[in-house]
Amino acid sequence: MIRFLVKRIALLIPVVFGIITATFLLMHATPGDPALTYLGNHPTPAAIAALHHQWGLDKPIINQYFDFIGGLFTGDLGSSLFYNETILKLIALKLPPTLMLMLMGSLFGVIFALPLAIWTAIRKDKFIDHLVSLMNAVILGMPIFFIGAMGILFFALKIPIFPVGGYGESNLQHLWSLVLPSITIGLGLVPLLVRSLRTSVIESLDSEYVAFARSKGLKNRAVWLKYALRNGSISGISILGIQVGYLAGGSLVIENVFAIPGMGSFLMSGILNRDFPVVQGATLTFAMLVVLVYLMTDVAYALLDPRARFK
Amino acid sequence: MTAPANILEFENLQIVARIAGRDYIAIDNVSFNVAQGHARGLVGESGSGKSLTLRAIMGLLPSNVRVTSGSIKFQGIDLLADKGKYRKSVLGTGISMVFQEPSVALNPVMKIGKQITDSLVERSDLNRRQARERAIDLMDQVGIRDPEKRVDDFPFQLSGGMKQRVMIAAAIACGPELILCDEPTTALDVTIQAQIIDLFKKLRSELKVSLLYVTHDIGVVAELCDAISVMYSGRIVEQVDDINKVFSNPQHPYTKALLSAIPRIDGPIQRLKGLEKTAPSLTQRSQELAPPMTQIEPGWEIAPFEFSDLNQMWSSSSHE
Repeated sequence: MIRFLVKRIALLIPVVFGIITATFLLMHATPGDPALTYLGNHPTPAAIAALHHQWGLDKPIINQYFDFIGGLFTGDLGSSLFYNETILKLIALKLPPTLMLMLMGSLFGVIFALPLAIWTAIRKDKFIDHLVSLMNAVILGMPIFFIGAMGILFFALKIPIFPVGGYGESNLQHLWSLVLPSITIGLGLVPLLVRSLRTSVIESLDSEYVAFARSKGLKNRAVWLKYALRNGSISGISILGIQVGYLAGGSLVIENVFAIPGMGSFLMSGILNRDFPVVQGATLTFAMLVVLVYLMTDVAYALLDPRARFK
Repeated sequence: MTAPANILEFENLQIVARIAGRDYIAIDNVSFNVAQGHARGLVGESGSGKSLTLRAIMGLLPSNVRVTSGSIKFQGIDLLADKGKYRKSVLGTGISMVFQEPSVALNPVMKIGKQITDSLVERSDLNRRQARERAIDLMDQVGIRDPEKRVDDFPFQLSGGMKQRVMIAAAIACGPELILCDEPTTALDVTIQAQIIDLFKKLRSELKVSLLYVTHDIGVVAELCDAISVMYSGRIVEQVDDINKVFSNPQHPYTKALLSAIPRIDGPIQRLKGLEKTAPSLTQRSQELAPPMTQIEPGWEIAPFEFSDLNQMWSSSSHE
């Protein structure tokens, strides 16, 4: 298992390097000059040049690139052009809500999807199966911000259980204010998760090893949970990984709907202000998040499937 | 001496398969017994319905296949009655089954020791350590070397023969009185086949289990079984309680054809006759009901020769 982990992490190094380079290049390919945004109307060329010099934008691009890489190794992502604060500090401030949101969102997704998947697999082609697949189609057809808005309407305005938005002050308030957005994200995960899990659970139920398990006289519960679901969830974990990867980007929308001061709004403001270091830092963080999620997916996969572990 | 009581009794079993909206009779008029402590071989070509017959006992028929009439009694009680409640209570403890393909019948992501004892653990209050000990004992009993090291292996770490032994260990874990064998050696090398057959012989003598052994290999039946039923196209064509009779003097032309398809080490050197044609597929079969069997002598019956699917075969072949 340790060898497996080391191998996986080693494989990630070129990926991470590629992401860093791509982020840097993208920033410089984006049109617009931050100095113009910063200085407002009719700036003098001298003022622009001075700012460029201050931000290091007048150096050759290759030097800027090496400065950037060097900075990364020392944990220096530069400073925001507008906030007078280092990027690292800003990210440390904005990342926790997003991380929690992703975590709780996937948790809710799994909690919703698992029982539905087993239930529909066992009652294949029966009423409940059709009902759930209809529900899936409806959810899939609704934009996630709409589900979020509906959630606010019903569970924050009509029945005021949850806050309408924001992030609160104390840790408990943080957690409480993330419940509704997390459920929204979880619901968004349900359709694909249920579908893929249901298919693989049905496949397991039809397999010879389930027939053999039944022939040993195991109770239905054990057959469903320890054989059908346990084996079916192996392919489900890959789907979940990919989806949670997407979530990193999807949280941008949800954070907006629920006014959560996370990475999503941070990135948005950075883009609108042409605050290069902010955009760079935020993009890099999102990319790293995705890489981390994929790594965790691989690890979870290996934990569930010994065949992956021993290869 | 009276004949031993029957542990398993089939009576007029009929199984129907629904394919593309139409019902086809897959198995008809199957009646035979497995005597307590005895072994019966159920022989036939692929598609003759022998595996379906086994799966009907276990309640493992595919969803489009159902038993339409007849009964399967285990120790005198019908397994098909009371919505399978009785069957559920005897699976594992009374009847167990060894499957054809050990590589797909074992759960690929579960340790073999767990798979051997999980149904035992569910029924008893064995703790983890005791269950592991029990698994090691059982693995030893079925001839797996170094069971202490192997018990935590996963199926993919074992050879085909070892996997089949694991499945047999799981099948005997709850001390069943009847083991159903669904071509348990077909997927294995010839040398391993012989070892597995020897293992079944050993289990028969040590555990006094009865066997219902499905195979297309009549040689295996000769070695392991007391009684034989020959199936063709979903019907029994010949069956006898004393297997030697059928080998020395087969009555039904199909049985003769089957026997003549086996190479003999002591026979004259000749071209094997083989079977001219395989049985028609299920959807092309005659849908007429199987005619009643004729008794030649007590414990020996044959189907009429002119049963139509066979007729096709004989009329167009050179076997007469």
